[in-house]
Formats: sequence, structure tokens, C-alpha cells
Amino acid sequence: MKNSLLKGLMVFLTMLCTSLTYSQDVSGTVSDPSGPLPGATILVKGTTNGTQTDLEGKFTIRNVGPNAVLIFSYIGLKTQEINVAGKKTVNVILKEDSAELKEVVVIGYGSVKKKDATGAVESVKAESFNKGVTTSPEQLLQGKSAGVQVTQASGEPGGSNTVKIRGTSSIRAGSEPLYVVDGVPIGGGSVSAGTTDVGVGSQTARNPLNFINPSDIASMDILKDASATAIYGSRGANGVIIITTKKGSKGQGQLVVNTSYTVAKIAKDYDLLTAAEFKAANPGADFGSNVNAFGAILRTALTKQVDAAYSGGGENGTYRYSMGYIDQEGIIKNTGLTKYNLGASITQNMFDNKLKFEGNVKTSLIHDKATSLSDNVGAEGDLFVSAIKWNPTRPFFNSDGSYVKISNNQRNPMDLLDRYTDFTNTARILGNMSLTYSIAKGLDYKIGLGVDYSNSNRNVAMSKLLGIDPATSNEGIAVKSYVERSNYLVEQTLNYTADITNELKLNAIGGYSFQKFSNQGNTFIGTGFGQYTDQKYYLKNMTAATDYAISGGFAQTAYFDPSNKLQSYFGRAILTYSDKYIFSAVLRRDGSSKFGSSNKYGTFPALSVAWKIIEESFAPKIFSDLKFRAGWGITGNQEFPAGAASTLVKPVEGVPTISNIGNPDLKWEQTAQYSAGLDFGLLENRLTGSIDYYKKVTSDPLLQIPVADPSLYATKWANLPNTEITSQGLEIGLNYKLVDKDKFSWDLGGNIAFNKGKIKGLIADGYPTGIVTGTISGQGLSGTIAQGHFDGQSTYTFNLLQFTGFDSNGMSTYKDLNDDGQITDADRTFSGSANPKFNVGLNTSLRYKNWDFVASGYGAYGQKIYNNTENALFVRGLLTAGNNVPAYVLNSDEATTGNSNGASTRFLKSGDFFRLSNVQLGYTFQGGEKTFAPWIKSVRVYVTGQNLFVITPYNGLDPEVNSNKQYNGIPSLGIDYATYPKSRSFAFGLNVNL
Amino acid sequence: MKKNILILAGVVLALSSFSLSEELNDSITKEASNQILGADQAIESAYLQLRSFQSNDNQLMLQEHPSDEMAGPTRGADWDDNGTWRALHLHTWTPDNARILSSWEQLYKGLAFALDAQSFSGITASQKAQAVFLQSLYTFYITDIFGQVSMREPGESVSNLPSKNLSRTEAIDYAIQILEGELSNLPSGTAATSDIANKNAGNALLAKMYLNRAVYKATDADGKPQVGPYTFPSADMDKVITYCDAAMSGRTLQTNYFENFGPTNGEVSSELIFTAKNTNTQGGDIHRLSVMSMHYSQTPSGWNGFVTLTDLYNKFESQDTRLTASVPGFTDQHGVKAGILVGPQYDQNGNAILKRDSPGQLSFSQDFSLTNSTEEKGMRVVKYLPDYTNLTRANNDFVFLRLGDVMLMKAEALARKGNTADALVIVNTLRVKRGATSLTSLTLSNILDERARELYWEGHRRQDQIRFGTFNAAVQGRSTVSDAHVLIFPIPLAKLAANPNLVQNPGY
Repeated sequence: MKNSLLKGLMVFLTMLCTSLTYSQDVSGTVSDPSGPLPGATILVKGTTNGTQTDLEGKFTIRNVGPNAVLIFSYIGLKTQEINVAGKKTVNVILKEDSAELKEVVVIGYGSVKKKDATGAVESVKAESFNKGVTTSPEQLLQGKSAGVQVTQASGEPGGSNTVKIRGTSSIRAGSEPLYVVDGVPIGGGSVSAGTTDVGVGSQTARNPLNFINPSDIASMDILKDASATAIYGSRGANGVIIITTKKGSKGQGQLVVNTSYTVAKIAKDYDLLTAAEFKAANPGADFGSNVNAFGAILRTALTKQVDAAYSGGGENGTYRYSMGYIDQEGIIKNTGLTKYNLGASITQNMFDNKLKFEGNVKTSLIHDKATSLSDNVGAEGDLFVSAIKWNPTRPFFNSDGSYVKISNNQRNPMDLLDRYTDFTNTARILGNMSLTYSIAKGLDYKIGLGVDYSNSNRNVAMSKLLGIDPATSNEGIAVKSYVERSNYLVEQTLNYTADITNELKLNAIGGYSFQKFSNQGNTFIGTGFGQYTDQKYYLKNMTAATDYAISGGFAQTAYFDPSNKLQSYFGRAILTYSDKYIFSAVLRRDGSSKFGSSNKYGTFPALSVAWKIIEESFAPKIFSDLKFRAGWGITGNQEFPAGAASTLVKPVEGVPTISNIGNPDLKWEQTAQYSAGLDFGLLENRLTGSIDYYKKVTSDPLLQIPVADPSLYATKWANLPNTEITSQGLEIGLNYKLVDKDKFSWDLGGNIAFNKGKIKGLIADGYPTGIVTGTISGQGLSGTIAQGHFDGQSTYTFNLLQFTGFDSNGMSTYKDLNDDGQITDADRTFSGSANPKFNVGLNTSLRYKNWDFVASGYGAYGQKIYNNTENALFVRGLLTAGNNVPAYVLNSDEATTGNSNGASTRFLKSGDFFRLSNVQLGYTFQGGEKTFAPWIKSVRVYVTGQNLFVITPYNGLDPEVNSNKQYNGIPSLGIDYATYPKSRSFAFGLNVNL
Repeated sequence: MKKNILILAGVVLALSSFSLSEELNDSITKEASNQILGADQAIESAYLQLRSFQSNDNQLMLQEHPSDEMAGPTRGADWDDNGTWRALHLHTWTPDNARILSSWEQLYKGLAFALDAQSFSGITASQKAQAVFLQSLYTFYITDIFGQVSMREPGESVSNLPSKNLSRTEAIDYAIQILEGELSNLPSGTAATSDIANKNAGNALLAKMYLNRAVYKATDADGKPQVGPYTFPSADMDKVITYCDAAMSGRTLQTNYFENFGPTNGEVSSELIFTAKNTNTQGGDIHRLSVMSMHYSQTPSGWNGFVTLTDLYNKFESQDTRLTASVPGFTDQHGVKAGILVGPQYDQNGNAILKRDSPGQLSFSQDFSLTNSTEEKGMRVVKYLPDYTNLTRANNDFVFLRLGDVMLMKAEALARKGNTADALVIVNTLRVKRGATSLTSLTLSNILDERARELYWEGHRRQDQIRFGTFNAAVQGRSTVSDAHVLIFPIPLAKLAANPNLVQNPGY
């Protein structure tokens, strides 16, 4: 609308120019299927003579030749050409453009039509999201896009996920994609506190993306290649996921209410020995009772969810208000998550559409309940480990009703459940506002401000009655950890769109942004709660403590990380010639306070082209759409800790503690990516798809490297000069509309992504035996490292002794690779990688009359999983020692005692799997006039099944797993240790549309 | 329009020039830190580093596991620990052994703090001498374990490679020379202040360095250590005797041997010469040195780990008070005895302590297998008695140097000079005090055995065995004679990468 004045002016001028030669007027009405269409464009073909429809959809166009052809067009509708043929009145109904052609993808600081995109970008809209209970947005994408691998690390509500776009390009932490929510880039890292190890291992923080209510999300756009991500410069190397929340649309207010009720149970249980079986196998350890300890910590979990949104809009603006509530129980007792969301978004046009205001606020409050579950617990055992190994003939209770207590290495799981409390409250607010000023036709200035603030409190307490360690927690312990994170963003852009000639169009943007991140927190510990035994009370009154320290630690720790500021200048120009050739160039210059003094600014360029072959006359007739894309770009990764370039001294209890050695040359990791792709449509776009090939090369990877001793601190952050990480792959996505009728439609979609990652140059950088990670936990396994990045190998390669079975005495035997007669570390060898060779996703959706049905599944093949749970708990000697084990342990040839459980390929398994992740069946009752409920637009009821089956050879609970087994800050991949089990769930839900 | 553009230009400019300067927030720069904190704090920090010696992960393990008095057997699904302990006992360690890396880091970090303290301008002569003592101590340990030593000047930037790379033969002379230069500036002190590097400590350390100097001098130009027998220069031995005499002044043997290691050893022992201080409010993990060996069912519950060898156990006469002892306040209260634990175990009330994995009383056997032992295999050692007032933050001070050691060093020096008569007197003085019978004659081998009895599990054994030439010989748990190259440990790979001037020790 804002251009109507200018357009009017142009029409007027055009009329002046053309009135001398023609005299016939043509008028009429333009509509779309729902009624008259204001603002549609009418142009006389081959001339500049044109006009627009008025508010009633009417138009009059002068000076039209008797055989002229009129072109009717409107954004989002199919353009029509009509020969006037002497008529004075022409009425047209414009039909909707096919969905594929009008699909828009967000590319960062703007959006383009998917058909005009030059880079590998994919938009996943709300209707294609995974169904069922999800607490965090990345789960919505699982299996939906080729090359986007989302791994749900465990079944814990609110637990973390691993997201990799096009493989691995970093070896240290911080290799997650950049998330941009409504234009605000979110800082990496967790917003909530992990726990201090109070005797049951330390626990990981919650998923930082949980704060977004999945039902507020309109689309998630994934920028995969560098030509697309370069606009995010030093943060674009791992891909970018742009989350756009739902906005109101013009029209009468609309209220949507969704509610669902979900029941979940453990999807696969361990086949642990029953009391009778245990007694038969180990009669010496029979205590006469009959319990199922693992079963006793599990439950059938219920999830209640309600959300509501009211949205609409008038002539000058739109609004949407939303609220959400979810109360999700975990299948392990005492775990779960309660979340409250409130959101508002408005847009308003002002001053004759010269000025546009947009604002979004999203707030959330999350209450996470946890219990004693840890990724790294050793011999002492957390709740999971304690329950798994609990002797099933041992009662939980003494005859006087008190808990049976055994030792620090075999806790009573009931005791632990009862006397351990862990909950976290996290509040987060994300707001952004922008003003767009239309300076002249095609030239817009926009200023945006964004704020992201979160505040999280974790509370952990153990009763003195638990008696985990006689020295400390016999007295009770309570820990409160507080984390506050914030970031603010100031951003200005100038956007220019112009038709330079009839054939050549330009869309350019230039911008400046400044973003500052802060991170601080503290932990407060109280012990010695005297006569008070209720650990929940400890958390309500920390002053009841008599002591404020635990072994070897301090009562109070606090941190305020060095600042992290990013100042950027960026620009992008997209030139389209003849609607066939599209050329895009991007340049971003990032300056960061984190970079060393000799590398304050980095420059990140990208170039890409697209050739719409379908527009060529020689395009093969079989295609209904065909586009070739190619691009190159350089992006960076700067997710290393703030302050890493400086030597830091932090006084702790008066003692100056060196925490880093400075490196003025420190800079971002650099990734160059080449990519090429083909988008195609066949059978009138009933079959559409893309094929993409890419190669990424990351150089100067960041790592904490040793400093030449003697040095007050052992390491500094540096870029490895010779090491390169390459990741290359092929991605294919297909979608086929088997049936596309009004009353019946059936879509089938699938994707497959092959990826091969390799690291080289480590030897030249002084790592002849690799950079290792993957700490194996459990009794007798201290110091065991199973995985690493090795020169010339795939990333995350396991390096293990080769298990060759048991000898006649039931002792483990291994390959003596160097034939020295001994089995030592030298006999370890590369045993496969945790990276899948390929990932697949399959989706189908079916609609028949008022019925709808969707099913989605995904899988991964070729990866190895290290079963640390089995390594630590399921060996024959532990049954002899009085632990419970799964039944299969009884059938092994392993000696009943004395055989070492040393790490080897004995515990390395194939992680291949395919999961039917969700299935939903729905029925919609149409409301409206002449129905039973005229005030209702529609009501939809549905049932959803989540995680219905997994096809896998893996012998653990679930092959989709990623326990945090990092070593020296290097993340691991594909290790399963005491992982929170995944559930299978069924939901009943209702959507009401008023 | 013009006005609008001007306003716009103002907004654009105002919001497009932010500072990128780094705010360190909770941290400060090293320069600022040095200005705020004086030399007192720097010395204190350097002393705090000494606690790293009492870890069951660091150099103490390198000095004990490869010797004839400690081993870490794998017990079924317990204590495999990636074969780390086994490799140490079998002398098959490789440069990526985790304990070798942590020992290197422990020693060099301590050295760095000793150097840093010396760079403070306000340092007193006494503080400077103490810092040099610590520098010398770390240099000595690094020379002993790793051969070559990287050295920096106080205040030298870590952005550059270390300015000095000392070969093993240079390093021992360097360590001696810097300490001799500062010996007179060290403060005087008593056994009760043995946590401060006083003159006794300086003398004792010098004696130890001269005693071992011949071993380090017997290193080839390429760094290859020579197997003994070593030639101990008479001049060195004279120095040992002189320094031992000075170190012994003011110290007397403690009547109750295990009081040297009890929770109040820093307060009650009269024979301590140099220690690392621990208190119940601020202390390290010294309790691990006993729980690493004790059984799960003992009090406090142990980790059922390391054992001692018959090679040590069989050296004792049964009446020797160092072998085992019931200690009042410990054994009667908690059941645990001090010294070597062998045979059936009882609690404080005389009731049998039960095994965990199988029925029956816990009884520590003399035999064990490195690869597959059951829970009761192997004799255990409790030397640092648990501090039951605060088990995990014990008050026991960690002993580096004490009179028993210094007496035996002097006896050894005398014996190496041929004066076995005077040496025998010293050895017998010690033996009688410890409840053993007097020897009638003395050989060097007797002195090595006496050092085992007096100093077992205190972190001297590997060094002693090398000096006496028995290190490579077979012991319980290792039936083969090992190669000469294992006399020094390899340089961890990561450290080689960090400093190209380091050359991997021969044989690795």
C-alpha cells in the first residue's frame, strides 16, 4: 500500500506519455477466490502502461490497443495474461500461486522466494513440524531437512539436543549452529546452571532453547551453506537456524486454543534379572526379598498442555497474543518440567505507511524438576546406576520401615529418590522492536533493538539422612546456583530495491550491528544442617547450615565472564537478470572483543549464483521447475570463551588464580564452503526436490593448547595452523504429491544426507596421538578415554583395544597388534566413528475429507555407539559382586570373577537405527453458519503416538544418544552412559478455532 | 525531508560506534594483580602448590608404582583404569600415560609459581631464598623423573619458549647451585615450622641432590640414562655428610613412628624437616593416600586399590614398629591399624570385617595378580592415618623430608666412602628407636633395605632403587628385567608439541 502514491504518480506520467497515440479505455474488476482484490497490478504487455486496482478491486486503464494483452499480477497469486480483443470490460479472478512457487525463505536480514534463492536454504513451516510433546524447537526439525542432524541426547524432559548442520567443523565446544529468534541472534551456551558435584556426579544444564513455545513458531529456516550464512560472518560456520514466530494477519480476530493430554511410558526396558533368576545365579547374595529397583524409579508419566493465541489485524497493523502452559512429567520419578509462556507481537504502519513499527516480546518461566542423574558418575552411582545394579533380592526397607543402607557404592534408590531434591527455575525474556522508515521508493531504513535476558536458579539438596559421604553430607548439603545472562543488540539496515532496467533487478542491503553478551553467576553451598533432616527445608533456609564448604572446595563461588562484544558491518546485493540469472554477493566484517589485539576484525565474503534453467526455451519439457545453484563463501566460528585472548588472574579466597594465558593472535575459526545444487520439479511440480553437494574446509581450528612450561597455567587458546577439518556430503530431498485432489491428498516426502568428515594436519600441529575425548565412567574405568580426533581419520573416531572374545578361563582377550606379547595402549586402533555415514528422514501426510494423518520417521546409519553403561555395569564379575545385570550377561562365557572390564571394542556397537518418531490422526469438524456451533470456525481432535518403534541392532536402551563425556573441554559423540531412557507416548488433543 | 535525513543521520551515527574494548569483569590482568598483591601472597601461592605432591595421581605414583613396594592390581570390573597402574608396575608406560602427564604438569606448575614469586620487586631476602628453595626442589624432581629441564628466568614471558633448556647433567648442578647461593638467607626453624623452607630443609635437600648427583651425571649426551653401578665422587659424599649434619640439627627421632604421619604430625613430630601444611579448614586430598589402599568395608570406606609387595613385607622383622601398629585413638575407635595390613581384618570391636563380593571375612593375602585379582588380594598400607574429625580435609601434613631419611642419607654417604663403621652406628640408632634389632655389619644393600622399611610409600623408592641399581630387576608382579630407558620417564607428547626445544627421551 505504501507504494500506491508513487505508483499513482507513475501511472499519471505514463498516461501523459501515451494518451497521444491511443484512445480506448478498458475497465473491470480483479478478484481472488475470496473476493475483490485491491492493489493488483495491471500492465499492458510490452509497454510501461499500467495501473492498480482500487479498494473495491476495480480498475480502469486507458489507451489500450484493441489487440493488446493485459498482464494481471499480485504477489502470491498466479499471473494471468488476457487478450483484450476489443472488449471494454475485463473481469479476472486470479488463482493462488502454487505453494512451491510462492514459498518464501528467510535468509537473514530479509527473505527471498524459495524459487529465487541462490544458497542452500530450507524453510520448515509449522504445519510440517514433528507432532507430539516437544519442549524445545530443534526437536520440531528432527528428520525434516537433509543435512540437519538433530540428536536427542536423552529422554529427559528439557534435556539437551545436539544439532549438526552438514557435519562437524569444530573440535572444541561451540559447534552448534547460530540461532536467530525474530532477528535477535541468541548467544551460545546454557542459560541455566549445571550442578556442583555433591557426591553423585555433576549434572548438565538444561536445553537453552526451551524458552520458546513450539506452538508460537511460524517457521524455522535453515541456512546450510556459506553463501547463505556469510551474512552472519564470524558466527555462521556451523549453519544458522532462523526462528520466526507467528504474527497476526489482517482480518477479524481469531482465537485458537490447543490442548492435549499425553501418557508416556519407557519405550524399552533392560531385561534385568528377576529375584528368582538372580537367586539362581548368585545364591550367596540372596537376601530373600523380591524387588524391581529399576521399575521402582520409573512411572507412567502424564503431560498436560494448553496454549491459546488471539490474533488479527486491521488496515494499519496486526497483533498476536499468545500464552502457553505445559506440565510434563518425566518417566523417572521426581523429574519433569513445567513451563509458562506469554508472548505478544504487533505491527503498526504509521504516517501514511512511511513508518512501520514491529515489536515482539516472548517471556517464559520454566520449572525443571530433576533427580540424582549424572553423565559422569563413577563407582558411587546416581539414581539410575543405583537402581540398575540393585540386588533384586534385597529389600528397600528394614523391618522398622527405615531405608536399607548398604554403602556409598550401593545406595538405596528409594532413599536417594526421597532424600535428594533438585529443581531449577529459569525466567527468560526476549524482546525486539524495530522501526522501518521508507525514505523513498525502494529505499528503506530500519533500526532494530533486541534484548535477551535470562535468570536461572538451580537448587540441589541432600538430606543428612542420605549419608552419602560421612564427612560431609551426613550433615546434609544444599547448593544454590544462580546464572544470569543477557545480551542486547542494536542494528541498523538500509535496504534498496530497484528495477535498474526492465531485465535487471537489484535488491541490496547494507547494515551495522552491535551486540553485547554478559554472563555471570554464583554458587552458594551450605552443609551441617544439624538436627534438620528435610532437604527441601535446607533450600528454604540456607542459614540453617552450620558450615559453608564442602571437601576441597569453597562455600561460595562466583563468576562474571569477561565481556563479549561484537561489532559488525555487512552488506548483500542480489542482482536478477531476466528472471533467469541471479547473482548474490555478501560481505560481513566482524570485530569482536574476544579476538586478540592483532586480529580485531575479520572479513567474511560469499558469492553465489542461480540459473533458472526452466525459464530457458531449451529447458527439457519433462521439468516443471529447474534451477541450478552454486556458491562459495567464508564464514567463521567464534564460540570460544570471552577473555581467551588475555592472561587472566582471578583472585579466589585471596589467592590469585591464573585461569588463562593470553594470546594476542587469537582469532575465529575459518570455514570455506563450496556448494552446488539443483532444485527441480516434475509432473507439474507434483514431484519436487533438491540435490546438493558441498565441501566445507575449516582451517585455524581453535583449541586450548599447552603452553611451554614452566607456566603458571598449562594452556592457552590458539588456532592450530596446520589442522584442517573437511566435511563433504550429498543431500537429496524429495517430495511427491501422490494425490492432490480437493477432498483427498497424499504427500510423501523423504530426505537422505551423506556426510564424510575428516581431520588432517594434527601431527604437524603436535598431536601425533590425536586430540582425545570420551571419558569412560564407572568403577575401575578411571582415566579411560575411548575417542578422539586423529590425523587422517574421521572426526569422533573410537580408538580401542580389539576384543577377540573370552579365553577358556573366561578372560577377555584382545588383538596384540604390535606382537610384543603384551596388551598395552599400543594395541589400540581406530575402530570406527560416531558420525553417521548417512541420515534419513521420511514423512507422509494424508488428508481425506475431514480426516488428516501424518507420520514422520528418521534414522541414521553407519555410526558406532560406545555402550559405557554395559561397560560399567553389565559384566559377569559384577553379578558375582552382588549387582543385578541383564539376563544376557548370564549367557556369556565371561569368568564369574576376576575378568577386567577394561574398555575395548567389546562395548562398541553399531548405532544404526530408524525411528518412527510420530504419527498423528486428526478429524476436523467445520463450524460456522448453518452448523451446530455457529460461533466456532472449526474444531479438530487428534491422537498422536510418539516414538512408536525403533529398528536397531543396538543392545542398549536407545541408539540415539549422546552422553556428555567431554574431556578437557573437547566434546565427545556417541557414548551412552546411564542415559535417561526415552519414552513411548500417546496423546489426545483438541484444537479449537474461534 | 532534509530535516528528517539530518535526524536520521544523527541516529545512525550515534548508534554505530561502540567500543570493542574487552572488559575482564571477574578477572584482572597479571600486571594489575602483581600491583595489588605483594610478594607475601606470591610466596604463599608457591607454598600452596606443594599440596599437589600428596595426590594419588601425581609424581608420588611415579616414584612408587614402578618400585618394589607398590602395585595397582585390576580387580575384575574394578581398577582397570585403562591399564595405567599396570603399565607403571610393568615398566611398559608410554608417553601418553595419564599419570606421567599429570606429574609433569604438577611439577612444572609448581616451578612456575616458585619463579613467579621471585619476580616480585618487594620480595625480602628470606622470601627470595624460600622461593629459590622451591625452584630447586621442583628442578630436582623434574631432573629425577624426566631428565631434561625447561627453565625460565623469574618474570620471563610465557609467550616465548623458555630461555633455558638444561640437560640432565646441567640441571642437577643448576638446582644445587641456586640453592647453595641462597642457603644462608633461608630462615631458621623447628620441626613445628617445617612447612616453611628453613635452613634444615635447605641442607636436607642439598644432601639429597648431592647423594643422587652421580646418577644424573651418568646420562649420555643424547639423554640416555646409564644403568649403574654409579661412581659416587668422594667430594659429593662429603657434601652429603656436611649437609646432613646441618639438616639434623635440632631434630630428634619421634618415639612413636606413626605419629610422623598422624593428623597432628605437624604439631607433635620432632623429626620433620620439610612438609606441606594441611588444616581441617584448608587442606588438600591427603586422605586419598590411605583410602586408595583400604578396603570398601573398612572405616573410612576405601577404594580397595593399591597393594604393597612381599619384596617390602619380607624385609621386616616382626617386632619392627614400622611394620604395623595399633594406634590408640584409631585402631580402638575405628578398627584400622597403621602400617602394612595383612591377613584377617577386624573392626574396632574385634568383629570380622566381611568381604563384599563373596561370603567370609576380609583377609588381605600376600599374593595378587596385576590383571585379575579378587577383592581381598594384596597387602594394604595405611601410612597417613585417617583424620576422623574431617576425613576428606585432613589435618595431616605431607612429609617431604624428615630426620629418618636424612640419617640414612648420611649413613649411605659414609658407607659409599668406605666408612661402614660410622654408618652402622647411625643405622642401628634408627633401628633401635624403631624396635628392630641392631645389625652387626653393614652393606649398601642393608642401607637400601633400611630405607625401604623406614620410608615406604613416602615417594622415595624409585629414586633409591635406581641409585642402588635394583630398579630394573624383577619384583612381585613383574617377572622380567626392564630396559635401561625406563630409568627416566618419557616427555608427554603434548609437552613436546608445546616446546620444540624438548627432545623425547631415548627409548620412547
